[in-house]
Amino acid sequence: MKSFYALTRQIHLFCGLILALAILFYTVSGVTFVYAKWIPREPTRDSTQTTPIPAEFSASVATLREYVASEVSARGRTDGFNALPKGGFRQRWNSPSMRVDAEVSADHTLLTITRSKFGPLRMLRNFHTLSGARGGIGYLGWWLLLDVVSIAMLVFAVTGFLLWYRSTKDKRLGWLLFGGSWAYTIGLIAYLAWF
Amino acid sequence: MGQSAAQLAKPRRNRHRWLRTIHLYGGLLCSSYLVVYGISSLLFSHPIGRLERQGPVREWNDTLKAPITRDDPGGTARKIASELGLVGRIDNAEWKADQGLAFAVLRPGYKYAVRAQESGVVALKGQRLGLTQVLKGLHDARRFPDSVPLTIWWNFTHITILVLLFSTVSGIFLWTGSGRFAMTGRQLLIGGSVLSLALIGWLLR
Repeated sequence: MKSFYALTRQIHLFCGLILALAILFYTVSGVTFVYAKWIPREPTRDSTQTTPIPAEFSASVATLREYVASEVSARGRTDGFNALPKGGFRQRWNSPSMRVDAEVSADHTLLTITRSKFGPLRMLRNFHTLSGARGGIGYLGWWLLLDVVSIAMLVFAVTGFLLWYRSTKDKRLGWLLFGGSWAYTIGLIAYLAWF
Repeated sequence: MGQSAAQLAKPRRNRHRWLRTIHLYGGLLCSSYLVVYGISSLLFSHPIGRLERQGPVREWNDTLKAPITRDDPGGTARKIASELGLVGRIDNAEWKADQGLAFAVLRPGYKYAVRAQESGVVALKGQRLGLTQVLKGLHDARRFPDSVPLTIWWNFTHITILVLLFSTVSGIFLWTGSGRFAMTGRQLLIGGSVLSLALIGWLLR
């Protein structure tokens, strides 16, 4: 039977290897938030096109929705086909790289499609905040990956501590760093939550 | 005269020892941040925190040293918050016709609603938002220059980013040097990377 130490080491190593790229990706995308002040704003590349809606589709909301879906080849999450306060309808699709707006005019005769392509930094930020299963199998997969990376952070902290404890004779520096870091973190959370 | 294999291996062993030491102690230093990061990421992804009840609203009044003038709402709000010792990010600062300057001050786990009259009288409402909001607020890295504990956390964030980047790369380097689980490790590294890249590619198409 494998010793507890060997098992801990294997878990630490295997988790790290499987998730190495995902962790790097999350860390780098997190950097875009932490250093947001120093990162210049990226313009989006927008393109707009307006086309007339054939009369047979203008009759009802259902046919308009059907027409918009057939005209707009967009991927990503959509918030549905919504009525606008000024009249008409709008459907929006969001993906990490692009936002597509399809707007039906108040008199149901014109369809305006606006595609906004994001730059690489905005894409990174969108990936960092992307969660939830809505949008298809890829979004579900990314959501699961985010959860796995989050749990892996807890696993690394626990297994890393156990590995250090087992492998080091002089533990003074380790206790100082570990104890100091935890005392500060718990103190800060308690202060913010209760005092 | 050529160097022996043992002499050649020595600098490599030293390099590995240094990498391992930094990997180990950097990880210990940042372990608490990683746990907060892991839990708060789960809280962002799942609506667990919504079950938590917020604290009661506390109301009180205060007076500024001098009356305020109707100019830049953001700047005036920052001055008022600083004078009253309210730590946090200023949000929605706006001059209202009959209520003076209204703004919110937000910090992890606490929210103030402030209404300041031009005479210098200030009405305040404060509310605790709960433990989950504290954790989420700590994940949402922001700088709070007026608070020493939160400024330390801000710096801790920078250190953890460096340690995470270093540990990910050094971990792979240490594994290749150790010769353990060579085949399995390679399969896991390639498999995990391909899967992550495939997901990114799928979402970008």
